[in-house]
Amino acid sequence: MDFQFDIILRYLPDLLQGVRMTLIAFFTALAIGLPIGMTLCVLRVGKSRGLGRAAAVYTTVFRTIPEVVLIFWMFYCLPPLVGGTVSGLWAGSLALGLISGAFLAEIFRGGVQSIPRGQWEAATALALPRVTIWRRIIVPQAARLAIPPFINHLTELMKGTTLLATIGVADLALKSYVLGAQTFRYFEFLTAIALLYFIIIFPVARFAEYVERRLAVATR
Amino acid sequence: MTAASATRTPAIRIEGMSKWYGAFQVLADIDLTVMPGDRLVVCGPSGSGKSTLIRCINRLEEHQEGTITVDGIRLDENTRNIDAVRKEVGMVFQQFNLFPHLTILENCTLAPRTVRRMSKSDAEARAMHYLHKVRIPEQAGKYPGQLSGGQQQRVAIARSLCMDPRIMLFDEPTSALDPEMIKEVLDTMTDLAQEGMTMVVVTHEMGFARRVADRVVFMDRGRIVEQKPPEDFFNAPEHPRTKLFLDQVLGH
Repeated sequence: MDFQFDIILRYLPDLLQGVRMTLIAFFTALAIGLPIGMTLCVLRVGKSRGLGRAAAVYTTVFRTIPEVVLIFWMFYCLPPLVGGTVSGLWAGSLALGLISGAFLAEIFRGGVQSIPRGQWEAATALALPRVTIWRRIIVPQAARLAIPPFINHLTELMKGTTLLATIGVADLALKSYVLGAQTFRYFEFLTAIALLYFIIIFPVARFAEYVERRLAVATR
Repeated sequence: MTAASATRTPAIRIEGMSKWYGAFQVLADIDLTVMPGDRLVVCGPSGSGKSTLIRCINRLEEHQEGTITVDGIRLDENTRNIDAVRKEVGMVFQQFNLFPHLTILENCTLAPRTVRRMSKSDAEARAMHYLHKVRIPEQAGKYPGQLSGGQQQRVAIARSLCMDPRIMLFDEPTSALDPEMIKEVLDTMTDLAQEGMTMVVVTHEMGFARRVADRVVFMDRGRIVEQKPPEDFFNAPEHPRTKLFLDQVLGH
C-alpha cells in the first residue's frame, strides 16, 4: 500500500473549501442554537409553569430526533411547506441548530440549578431586579460550571456537521468522499479528513481543558 | 382604627395571616405589630414557622390569608409594592449568602448602585462606612471565601445596611457559626439595636434576647403562643410549651 501524500496536497484547496463549508455550518448552527438554549433555560427556571412545560417539551422532542432525520426533514419537507427553496447548507444548519438548542438548554440549566437558592434569595431580598440577578449573580456563577460541558458540546456539534454531507452540502466530509471517488485514492482522502477534523477540534478540546483548569483555580 | 394607632404607622403589621405548603399549614392566624424602633426576638422549636414568618415580611414566601403591611405598604400580588417593601427591609440569612464571585466591596455596592442608582464613588463610600461599622474595612478587596464565617456574616449585615433599610430581618444569623464567632456577630447586632434600628430577629441566642430585645415572641406549630417583654418571658412564662422550650434551651 503506497500512501501518496502529494495527491492530498494537490487537492488541498478543494479540501480547504470543505473546511470553510464545515465552519460556516458550525457557526450558523451555533448562532441558532445559542439563543434557543438560553431562552429555554430561562423559561425552565422561571416562574411560569406553562412556559416551563413548553420549554421542556421542546427539549425532549429535539433531543430524541436523530440529527439525520431532522436534516432530511428540513431539506426535503421544509421547502414545500414554506413554498420556496432551502439550500442544503441552510436546511442542515437549521436542523443542527434546533437540536443544539435543546442540548445547550440542558447544559445551561444544569449550571443555573447548581447555584444555591440562597443566592437568589439574598439578591431578591436586596430588591435587585430580575435582569440584574441573572446578569450579575446567576450567569457568572453558572458559567463556571457550564463552560466545560458547553465546550464539549461544541466539539460534538462540529462533528455533527459531517452529517450535512448526506444532503449534498460540500463540506469537508463530502469533499473527501468525492475526491476519493474521482481519484480512487480513498485511503489518502479519508485519512486526510480525519486529520483535518482532528486539527480543527483538538484546539477546541484543549481550550476546554485550559478553561476548566482556570476556573478550578478561580472558584477555589 | 384607634387614635393611638393612627398617629404612628407600624413598621410591620400582620393581621390574621395564614400560610400553607400544600395541605400542611405552616402559619396559622398570625397577628403581630412591630412599631418603628422595636427590637423583636422570635424564638421557638424548629419547625414552628418562625423563619417562614419573617420570610413572609419581605415576601420571600407568599402568605395565603390575612394581610401584611410593611411601613404602610400592603404586601400583595402587586410587584411594585413588593419591590417597594424589599427596598426598605434588609435581611440577614443563616448561611450569609454573600455573592462568592464578587469582592466584599462589590457585594456591598451592587444593590445601592442598581436599585438606588447611586454613583460608584458614593456607593463605595457608603460601603466603606458600613464595613467600618461592622469592623472589617480592611477586608474590602477580598472575596467572601477568604473570610471567616463571623466576618462573612458581618459583611452580610453591612451589605444590607448599604440599602439604608428601615427594618432589618435576621434569620438565625448565628446558627451556622462556630461558637467563638457568635459573639462578634451578636455585638454588631447589639450596636445596630442601640442606634434605634427596627429589628426582627429569629434566634436561639437567649442571652441576646434578654439583653437586646424589648419583646420576645414564642412560636409553636405555626402559631404565636406568647409574646412578652424579656423579663416576663424568661421569668414568668405562661404557656406550658414555652416553659418546656425554655427548660430545654436554658437548662444546660
